[in-house]
Amino acid sequence: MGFAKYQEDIVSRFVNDTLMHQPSVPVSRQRPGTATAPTPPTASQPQKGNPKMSSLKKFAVPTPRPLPVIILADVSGSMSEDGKIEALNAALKDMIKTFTKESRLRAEIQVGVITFGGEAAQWHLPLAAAHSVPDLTELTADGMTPMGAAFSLALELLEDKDRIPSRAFRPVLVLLSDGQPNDDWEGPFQALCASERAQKATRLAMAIGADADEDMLRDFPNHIEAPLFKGHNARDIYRFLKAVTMTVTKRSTDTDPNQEDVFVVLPPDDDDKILDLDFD
Amino acid sequence: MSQVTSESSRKNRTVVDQHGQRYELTGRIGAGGQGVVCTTNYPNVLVKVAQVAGARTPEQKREKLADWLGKIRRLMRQPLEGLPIAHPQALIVEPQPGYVMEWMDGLIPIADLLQTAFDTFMSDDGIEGYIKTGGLQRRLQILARLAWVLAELHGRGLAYGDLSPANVFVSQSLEYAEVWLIDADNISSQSRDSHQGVFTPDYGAPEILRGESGINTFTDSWSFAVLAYRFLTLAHPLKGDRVLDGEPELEETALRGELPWVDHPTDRSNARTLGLPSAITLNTPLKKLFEQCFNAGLHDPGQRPSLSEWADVLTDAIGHCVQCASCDSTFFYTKTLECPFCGHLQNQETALLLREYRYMPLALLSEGLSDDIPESLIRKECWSRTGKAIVLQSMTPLELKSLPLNTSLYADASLLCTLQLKEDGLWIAPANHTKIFLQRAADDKVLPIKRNQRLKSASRSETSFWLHLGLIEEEHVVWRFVW
Repeated sequence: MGFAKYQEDIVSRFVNDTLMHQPSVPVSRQRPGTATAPTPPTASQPQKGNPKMSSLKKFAVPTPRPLPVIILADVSGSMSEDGKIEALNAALKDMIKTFTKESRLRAEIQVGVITFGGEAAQWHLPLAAAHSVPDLTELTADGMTPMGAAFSLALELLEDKDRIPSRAFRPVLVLLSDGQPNDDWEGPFQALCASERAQKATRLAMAIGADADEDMLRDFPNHIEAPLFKGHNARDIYRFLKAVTMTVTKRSTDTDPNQEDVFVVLPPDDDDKILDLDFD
Repeated sequence: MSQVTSESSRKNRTVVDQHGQRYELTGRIGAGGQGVVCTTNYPNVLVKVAQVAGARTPEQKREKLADWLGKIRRLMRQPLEGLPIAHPQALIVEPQPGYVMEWMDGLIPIADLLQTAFDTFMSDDGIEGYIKTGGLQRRLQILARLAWVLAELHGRGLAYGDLSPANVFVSQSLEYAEVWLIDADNISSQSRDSHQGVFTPDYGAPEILRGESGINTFTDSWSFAVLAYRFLTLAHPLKGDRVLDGEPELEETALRGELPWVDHPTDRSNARTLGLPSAITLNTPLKKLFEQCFNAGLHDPGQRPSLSEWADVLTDAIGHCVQCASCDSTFFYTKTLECPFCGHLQNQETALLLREYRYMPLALLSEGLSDDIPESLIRKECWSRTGKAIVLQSMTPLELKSLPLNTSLYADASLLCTLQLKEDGLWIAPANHTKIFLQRAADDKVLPIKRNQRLKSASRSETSFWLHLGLIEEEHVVWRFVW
């Protein structure tokens, strides 16, 4: 469902309504030739509590600007080791849960997940409003690392004005990978950086473990405050996505959603005394 | 170090204040830039835990926390007693800095009411959410109360700072319109050159967004007006169709005050078609105040109405509402009594408009005047309209008092009479030992009302009546209505 389409719909209903302010009172049909008896006065007089009169008028209200968050997740075979894929699944669920609790008065956070593994990249979760996202099905790790294909999918979305209208806040693109791309990634990556619409997206990246292609991943982020984040284990994946979550939610409510924010992955909490403020 | 143990140990929700009192945190009711506000195991007690954002090194974090603590300590010395503003009562010292505050349970933020109102539009139920969160009249009650609280605060020489729908809490129950403010951290002396530029996007005054000013009473007045306009119309005063359809950068431009406001009388370049029309959600005095704030006050903060002006106009507006018998919403009185939300025409007998006048007897007015001024000229001055009006609705008795409506001492003024609109007519019941009189314009007859008396429904004939709340030879309040 296109965003613009939805808006057109409510606008057209609003316009229709202004043309027809009140539900018309049904006029009794007269057959030609029959004597014209005056209709009883009770039929057309608005009565107190008449259900026909209680139908509410149609108005249209502004909709919040979309704030798209697109996750590019590596689900190649190596992600199944050391609990990485499990951590990624849990972290993504947590992220979406946090997004659903955010105010939607100013920005509507939308989430999409592109996975790359096996033979191809695919939309694991097509871009949708976070608060209407059903339970995220688990990602499973298997096969190769077709990262270039994931870039192409992301680019296709970012350039689609119907899916991401120009009124949307700057999208956030998040890349997580633990390996080397095995397809042609350079072409698609150049395209992503060159596209007028796509280059506006804030790009964040995390290299997981020693096998990650750090040289390649280092070029991905375009956020001045956020260079490539290097993690080593499942807990680091959690920390990274937590920082993404905080940046996005802060954007959606606190400060100007289009502004560059400080992006900080907090140091691990080894202090047992730290307060747990994540209430369900 | 195994992950399992470190995850399970993270369940610490106990905090300790400076007096050694322990609190268990039980849930979160709000989060801002500076911390998280939590409910506790004690009723009506909240704890705010400081959270400093953007600190990258432990030193930076310590510095920021020290700044915050200093602010809270200063706040604890401010005169906030008696105001419904949750403020620090004791500092939390373990395990993280924070403070304890008194609260009233059963409140939800205005942001939730706004969200409910917007949600029903998304789910195709239109204005149902607006109506079920209290409709127009309760919104006016909440805003009038909020304006009063802020006017009091300003009267104590303080500005609130970061007013937004997330910081204003109201009764969850529709029967009440209690208002509490949370997040008092930014309250400060209203110095005009304060450079504390805290704000919530959409609600910050243009001069704060442009970085030219800190918070003060004028910026509070701006934030209040935005909140009020949005709560009443579900539209932002600076976001017309052009801004809403445009790129986010255009919205920033609008919020910095570089575009006309949506209801600008002549420049329609940023007009709005979305949200509830101002024509049905605002009355004339309200429109005037919004115009003053968002047009003249856009670049000249001193032009913005004060919070006490808002309180007066909003309080008066509450009395102008009529409840629709069909959709249960409330709307501003018009002669036709047509509900603008559902189109239902109310029965004319179910509402009566009363207008307030001041009456000054001729003898008092002529005192000290030379004899050559014609009496007819002076007589014209006997009556003066106060501009106030109230709608009497069937089944809701109306108490009239000795002072002009909604003046500061009105609540304590003595009761003079009670009016009630019933099916068989208008009942006027004088309070004990009060002298009230009814004057009929048709024949100028003045009758004393000594007991519960009735103007019969059958006798309605578009005649003006004057209800005098005092002796004719003394100055008093008069209510005029057409029967």
